[in-house]
Amino acid sequence: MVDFRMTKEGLILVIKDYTSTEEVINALTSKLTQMSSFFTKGDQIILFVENHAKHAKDIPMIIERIRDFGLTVVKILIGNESEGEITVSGKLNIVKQDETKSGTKIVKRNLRSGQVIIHSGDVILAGNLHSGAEIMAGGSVVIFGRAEGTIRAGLNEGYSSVIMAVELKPSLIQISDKISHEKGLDGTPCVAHVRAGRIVIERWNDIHFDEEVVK
Amino acid sequence: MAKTLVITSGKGGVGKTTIAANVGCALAQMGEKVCLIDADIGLKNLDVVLGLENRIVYTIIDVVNGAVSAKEALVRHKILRNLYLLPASQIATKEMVSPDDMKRIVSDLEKEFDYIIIDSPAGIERGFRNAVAPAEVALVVTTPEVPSISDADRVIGLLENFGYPDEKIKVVVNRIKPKMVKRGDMLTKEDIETTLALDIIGVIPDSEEVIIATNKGIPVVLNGASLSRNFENIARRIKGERVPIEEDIKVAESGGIFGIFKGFFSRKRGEGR
Repeated sequence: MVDFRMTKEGLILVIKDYTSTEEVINALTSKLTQMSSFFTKGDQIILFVENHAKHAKDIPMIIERIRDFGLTVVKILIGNESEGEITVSGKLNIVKQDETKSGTKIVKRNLRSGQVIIHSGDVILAGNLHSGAEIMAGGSVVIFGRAEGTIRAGLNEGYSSVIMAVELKPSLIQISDKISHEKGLDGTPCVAHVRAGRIVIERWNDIHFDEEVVK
Repeated sequence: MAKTLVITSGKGGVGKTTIAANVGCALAQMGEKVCLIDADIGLKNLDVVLGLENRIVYTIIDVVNGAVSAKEALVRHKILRNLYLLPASQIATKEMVSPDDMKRIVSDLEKEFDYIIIDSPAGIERGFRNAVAPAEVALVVTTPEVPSISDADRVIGLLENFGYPDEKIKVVVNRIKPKMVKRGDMLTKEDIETTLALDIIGVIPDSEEVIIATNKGIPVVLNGASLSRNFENIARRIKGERVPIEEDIKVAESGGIFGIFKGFFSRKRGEGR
């Protein structure tokens, strides 16, 4: 499931299709522990994820775990793996921005089609999220701008995460495992959150959370 | 030292080659020494639009293989004597050229020219990478249609990743239909500007003149069409002149005989300055 390959480009960590998140995290942890003497702090590796669309929500967690071992992921490749042959179909285009100590990532730019922010904590985007762009956040997502792309929040933290945007018109919203195609109202900031087991989008002014969710 | 521009779009058929040819001609008419490079290897068109297809001896592939120097492969335009073309090969493929080859070719030509304009192929694969590698300014062409704009957005994102700052990426809106815009049936220049969050360097109306001119192999700038004004405005803005974008729209809206008259009048005035 988890394997290392040495290539011209560098060391690739291959993660093949798997069933559960715990399974892959455990396998990753044991593999990295096993090889801990091989790496030095700050080593760069390339991550290859098979069937990335299905496992999108795990990618922040996988990166986080790799980082726990003092390694940095320089790029994420996507594609297929069969009989030891890797077919790379593309590269997830990660927007690089410095980490903040509080665990919140702040990105000050417009995120264009094909660009992705992947972060294990909360994400603040000061700019527009164009259609075709994507945010994958472990926590909540706040967008000071027009949000037309894909927003995945709560991938680590679950239903307590919220998505807020000045103009919330995303092509897809995901909070933890809940998915919605709904769009916010015109000309007013909106908030998407999970209430009673489904994603609801409400005007910023009349938002209220379930107590259970707030906790 | 030449200023190197790339004309790209992502989506095909939006008018990259026509714009490359006409902006190149407009700059050459203004007295600049211009070199056009056709980076669409395997599907060359720029030579046909310029009417130079029968004058090609060497192509970019010969330059890459080291058979001739970049200067030797250039084809001189028959009317504009300070416009040159580095043609693409029809029988080669884009994989035969690398971004480093393109950089080398441009650095060889740089000293000889004022402007180098690279016509990029559609798509975001090797051909696109080849075309954008040596340039410092990118003109992204889009038509006022959603698929074209979303492809333009993707391309702009890629250009950012290649290290282009936002102020070096300009948008050209092609094939706008002023009547449809007025009726509210077409995306306006402002819509595109807000969607892409970048400056627009030119607006070109939809026109039959372009089709006629392209088939004849004489760019519209050279046959005095009303549209030539729009291309000249883009050329001026590339040169750093301040030409308000409203001028393009005025030309687009007036069109017809009046447009030709006005275009002629303003041109005369332009020369007087």
